[in-house]
Amino acid sequence: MDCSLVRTLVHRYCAGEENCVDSRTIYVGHREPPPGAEAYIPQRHPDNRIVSSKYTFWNFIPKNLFEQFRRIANFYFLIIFLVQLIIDTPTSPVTSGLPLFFVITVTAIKQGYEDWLRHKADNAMNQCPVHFIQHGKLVRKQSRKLRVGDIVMVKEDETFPCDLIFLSSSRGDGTCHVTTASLDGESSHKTHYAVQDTKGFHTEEDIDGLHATIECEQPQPDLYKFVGRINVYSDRNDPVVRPLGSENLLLRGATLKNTEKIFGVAIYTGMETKMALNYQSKSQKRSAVEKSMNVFLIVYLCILVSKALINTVLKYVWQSEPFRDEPWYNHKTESERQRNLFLRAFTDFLAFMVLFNYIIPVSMYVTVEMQKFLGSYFITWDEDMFDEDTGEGPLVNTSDLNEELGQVEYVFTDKTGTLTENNMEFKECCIEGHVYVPHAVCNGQVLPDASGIDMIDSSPGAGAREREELFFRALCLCHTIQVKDDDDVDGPRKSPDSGKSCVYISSSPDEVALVEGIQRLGFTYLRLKENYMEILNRENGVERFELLEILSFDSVRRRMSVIVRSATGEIYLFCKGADSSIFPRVIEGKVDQIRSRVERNAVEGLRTLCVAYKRLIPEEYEGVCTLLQAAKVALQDREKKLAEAYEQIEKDLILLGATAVEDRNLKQWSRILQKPLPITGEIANHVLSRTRKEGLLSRHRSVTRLRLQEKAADTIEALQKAGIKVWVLTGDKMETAAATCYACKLFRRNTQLLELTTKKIEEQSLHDVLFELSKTVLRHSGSLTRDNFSGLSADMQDHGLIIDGAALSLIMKPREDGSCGNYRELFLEICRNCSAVLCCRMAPLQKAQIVKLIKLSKEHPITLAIGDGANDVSMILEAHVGIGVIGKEGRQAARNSDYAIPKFKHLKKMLLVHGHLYYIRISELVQYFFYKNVCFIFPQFLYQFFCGFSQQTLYDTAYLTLYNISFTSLPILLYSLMEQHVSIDTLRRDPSLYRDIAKNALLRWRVFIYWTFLGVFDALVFFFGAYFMFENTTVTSNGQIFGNWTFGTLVFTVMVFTVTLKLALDTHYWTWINHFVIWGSLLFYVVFSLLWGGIIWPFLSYQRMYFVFIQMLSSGPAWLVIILLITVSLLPDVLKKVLCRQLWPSATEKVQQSTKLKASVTAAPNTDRPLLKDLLPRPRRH
Amino acid sequence: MTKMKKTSQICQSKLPDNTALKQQQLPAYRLQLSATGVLSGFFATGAFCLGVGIILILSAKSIKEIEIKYTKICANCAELREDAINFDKECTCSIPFYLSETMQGNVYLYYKLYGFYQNLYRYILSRSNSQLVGTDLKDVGNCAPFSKSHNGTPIAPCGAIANSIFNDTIILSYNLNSSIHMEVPMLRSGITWWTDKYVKFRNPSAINLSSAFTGTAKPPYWSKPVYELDLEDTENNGFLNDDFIVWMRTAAFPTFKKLYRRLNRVQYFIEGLPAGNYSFNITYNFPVTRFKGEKSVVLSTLTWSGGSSLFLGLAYTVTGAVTWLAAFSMMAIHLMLKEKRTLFIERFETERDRA
Repeated sequence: MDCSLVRTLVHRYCAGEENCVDSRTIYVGHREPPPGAEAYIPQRHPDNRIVSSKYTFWNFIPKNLFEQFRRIANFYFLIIFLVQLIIDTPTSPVTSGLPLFFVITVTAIKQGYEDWLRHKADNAMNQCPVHFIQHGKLVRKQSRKLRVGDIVMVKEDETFPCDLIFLSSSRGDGTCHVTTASLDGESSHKTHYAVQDTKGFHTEEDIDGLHATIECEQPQPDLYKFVGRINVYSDRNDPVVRPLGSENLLLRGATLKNTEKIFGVAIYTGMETKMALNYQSKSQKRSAVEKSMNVFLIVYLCILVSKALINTVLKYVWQSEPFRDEPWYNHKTESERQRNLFLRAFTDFLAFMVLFNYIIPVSMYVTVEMQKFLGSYFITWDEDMFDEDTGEGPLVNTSDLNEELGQVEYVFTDKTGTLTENNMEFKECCIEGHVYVPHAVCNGQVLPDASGIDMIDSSPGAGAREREELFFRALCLCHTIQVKDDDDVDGPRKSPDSGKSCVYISSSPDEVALVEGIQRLGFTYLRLKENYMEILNRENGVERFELLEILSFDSVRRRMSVIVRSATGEIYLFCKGADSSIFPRVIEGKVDQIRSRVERNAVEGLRTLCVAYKRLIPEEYEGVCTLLQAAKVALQDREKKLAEAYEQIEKDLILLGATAVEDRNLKQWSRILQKPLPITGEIANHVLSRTRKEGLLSRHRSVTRLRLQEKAADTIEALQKAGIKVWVLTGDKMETAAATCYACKLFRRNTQLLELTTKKIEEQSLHDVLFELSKTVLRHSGSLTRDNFSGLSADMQDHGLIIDGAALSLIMKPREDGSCGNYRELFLEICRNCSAVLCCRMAPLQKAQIVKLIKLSKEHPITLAIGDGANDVSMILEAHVGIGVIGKEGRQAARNSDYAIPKFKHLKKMLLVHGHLYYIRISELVQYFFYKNVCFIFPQFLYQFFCGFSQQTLYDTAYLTLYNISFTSLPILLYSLMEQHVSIDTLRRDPSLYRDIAKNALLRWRVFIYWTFLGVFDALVFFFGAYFMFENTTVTSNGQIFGNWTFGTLVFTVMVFTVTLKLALDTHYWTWINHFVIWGSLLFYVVFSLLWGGIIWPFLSYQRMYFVFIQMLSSGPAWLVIILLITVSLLPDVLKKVLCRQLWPSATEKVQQSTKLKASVTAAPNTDRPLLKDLLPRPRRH
Repeated sequence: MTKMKKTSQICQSKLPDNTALKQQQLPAYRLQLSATGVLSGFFATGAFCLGVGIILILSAKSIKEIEIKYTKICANCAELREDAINFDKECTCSIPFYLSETMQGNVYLYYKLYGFYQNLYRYILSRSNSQLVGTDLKDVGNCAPFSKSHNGTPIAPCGAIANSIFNDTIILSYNLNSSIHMEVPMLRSGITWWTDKYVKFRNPSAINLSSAFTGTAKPPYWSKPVYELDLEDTENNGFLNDDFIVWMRTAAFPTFKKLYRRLNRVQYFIEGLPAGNYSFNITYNFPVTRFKGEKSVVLSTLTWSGGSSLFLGLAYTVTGAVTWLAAFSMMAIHLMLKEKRTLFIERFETERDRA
């Protein structure tokens, strides 16, 4: 964040007009273009130094201090400290200065250490040697000395030192493979392409002779976007202009693989590389607990100020009589007498502020931070969340949100890869209505005799055979798969049956599944060689197609195309995409048959794609070429222009067929099908009829169709029982998604499905549909008492909503007539009453939009988004808690998430166990902190009424300082790390317990006020108990008298014991560590007090505590008072707890009770009156 | 091979340790506030409190205490002290009283002040510990505004506390009959904390006390310098004077009493103070009407539990009673709910079985 700020400032003030230039010109190898070329725009670029560190040796102290004091709490304590230093206050500045100093120092050391590590890493990075070309020779120098325009050579397994334009490679076809594991975590190999006109320059001399300029955009952080163009000047000719895209760009941080060496020219260096631009941290999320904590803080700040004000006013009222203002025994000094009244009043106010400032302790922040930091280790340590298949455990990227996991009300989950396994398998294809199914496949290995096609329908005619082959060729050619040749890989050999073994790599698992499936149908894609795609046809003949253009996939178009030239010179365009994006562009083909097949497959939970083609005559191709070229070399709005060009090219297609890929799915599917489904709505009917009609067929094929991730259904069920609403957001077709939702028990048999889809909106207006739905929903919700019940009873009516992307955007779109919020509200109302919502056909941004919509609705529910792919990142960032599934589609989601888990099923333990426990822990921590500081400071406040409001402290300085730091800090920290109010097992077994803490239940005002009043009550007991004791009685049996410091010590001792024992009473889970810390800290207090009063400390100017504690303990009545006061302060709380537990037990308490009682019930013979038992339905036991 | 090994190692290192702490499975005792536990706890606490309370009340009953406020009785003296000019005029005052019962055992004589704020912030600060411990007589840093006399010599003992020392003399005399008035023997030692007398307060070392305090001035309100506080007993003179040490321990509240003398149990007084006629002969020096305060003398016996107040005993008794009351009502609720709870367990089990 700072970097970017500084950068913009630098740009604005130092670079003059340069910031107007939104593109940059680079001279390859610093060779100036021939005269007559475009105007020379001088630009300064930074060197290749990476600075990820925040501080330097010199600015560390001021800058770090500045950063730390920007936190409002630290600043507050600094102000208090300064006030203490400046004015004459009763408490020594040490009392607040020491803790603050401690906090600041520890933080500074931590940050300094982290920064030192960054420095070290930066240095290692900046000094590592780089090969580059100078005057035709290879030179080594340090990475940081690299400049824009240098030509760099990178060898295999080296990382790129800066962002490079790929000029040439040692591979003949001008490609290279790259892994971006360190950039976005994806370990798959990606192919990048050298610039067409320079890929011939293979040696240093050649490349030095290159004369070219590159124009490209100014650096921007998007890793996957790049636009630029290169002008290559050959002798005396006009320069050749070529477009540059992200496929020509090699990013810093990526590693070169399977290529001996490459040459490239540096275009972005140092802090301008895309990697550096991506250093910027995400916006910080704050948990609901933290927000309520801040609100409570403000309340306490108000209390503090009002306390100080009250005391100041009373002081002057009290002093209005001169015999009190200046009694004969307490004269003022001259300077005091002369001071202005208002100034005096103001300093008095400040002094009172300082006196009471401990009510907001520094240590609370420290403890909360420590609790979060240390507590998050329990997630990473959790064995249950470790996935042995992948060897991955959960990751915690931020520990600030631990307790938020216990507050989730909405879960937004992605379908593919999150619920399902993202393990694709080609199932069938449908060509012109005829269905082809490849032979059985076993774990991706083709069975030995697999060669033919198993045709379900009747054999196609001879004319169709041509179409069939065209379809297969289309699938073989229309993709962006790279082939990893065997000689490049030392990994295990795959597909050993064919002579040419190869491994397919693609960012989309669907494509691989398709190409592998086609391989089993007889056509094998071999490789892309020098722009020719080679395929092996059924007759084992190699066919070569020249790859002319790739119209790459994007999630808006939802399709991709290639343009190829066959050996016979014919030019084809093959297009593959989602049915909704293909059908409107088709003019020919058996659309209806294919459509019905696609729908059928979708219902079964298969992912479908349609394939179409068109033949281009050379003139048409010329037009296409110029269109594309124009769009590609555009430096501005290239995306938009390309999209327009694609739109024009991909039309008038001829439909060939459709494919179906199985996203490995679920076991329970068959079970669901066997049961009658009392569901309504079109999809459900569809499912139903399909089940009856084709039950035979599905049994014939395979028993398991959909394969969900392990325990996904179980997890979703548990989440719903916990009162969490689960939404599935997917880009898939409605039918596929709905099937998955049934499978994973998101929709159950008795769920009434509501549809809000484009289809329905076409029939009726949006307005009518929404009103109708809301009526249906509200009719039922009136009579339902869903929230009162634990959701266990099965005969309840719940609703499920299905909505698609188009309908959603209609709802979100502001109306012209200004009634914009209206539909939104209605929609939210419907959603609120549905237990499950399915959103299909969602674009990634729409996912985030949905999350935002719910997040900002009027209850402000806590949302959680979980997903595994790059398309889920936006929603993960948007939601309160973002969880990434460490999946197959790369680690981008995991990297951007707050927490990452290996499997969806781990979400259950994450929320129900860890979230619940963290919430319980931190809420107790927060409430307890406020409580113990009320106990601490309120007696001090009361004492002012007895000391003439003169700001005399009740406690000794050492006690003031150490109360929060050492006497009472460890037990609560430990509690907040260890407490388990019910066992982990119970929490996991009984998800409905999660409802007990929903909506920040333990930090509501009522609870907060209870704790505060408890604190005030206890403080009153301590103070007045001791007061009456001192007022009327001699506390010793030898007649000697105690002074004010003994009084303070007595109050303090009672307080330390009460506050610690209160925590002990709240602790449900007593391990030896709890015993050690709780009794240990009490013991420490006693030992400290003995020591503190036992010696005349030479460094102290006063000895007021000398023997005070010991004298106090040597008197019997003092002991009696201590015991009495502790008992009296603790009794009401215990009483309240027991009564509440008996009269209005929460579910958690019932469970606590029942586990205990059950043990006694089973142990003792059941002596209950039989009458009662007979009234109840008897459990059936087997 | 090596590659395989490496990956398996990575897997192992990533696998979390299966320790009880890390898996949050430490063996633990679960503290549940169960009804029986809490009830028995309450009953026990109540019984304890009631017992202690009754004992305390009984022992407090045995205590005898007499308090006589003498500001009004000695009104003329009080009036005289209103004006600071009259500081050197002596004023005595005799207060006769009748002791109806014998005060058995040790009897303690206290003076008690009303409305005197010994706990004012500046007042408490205004002393010099290094001076009082005898190391540096010249250190009067914190003592403002009573740090130096007009001619600039440091005051010893300096500060507001020392300056305002209680300087009435109280002498108790026993009137055996109308003619025999005998002074009740009183001890002036043993009224301070041992550590105060022998560690915290030290006289500066010198051949004699007066030479030790040369170069210092007496506090402005004092009539005699510090080394003349007790000319009879050197162990009780200077900073080591018991009355002075008692005064220097500042009281917590504006109404406070301080120990003045103990009964020396000899002759007639071997059993304590016998019943009869007594009088206090007070040399009235300490002005209290100026701050609308009062002063009194207190004679009191003590028991193991301290002074005469019933407060502690009553507090214990009330707490015990309340605890028992709470315990009984809880028991009633518990019994009422017991039926309901068995019902709940049944349902819970039913639901569990169904699930």
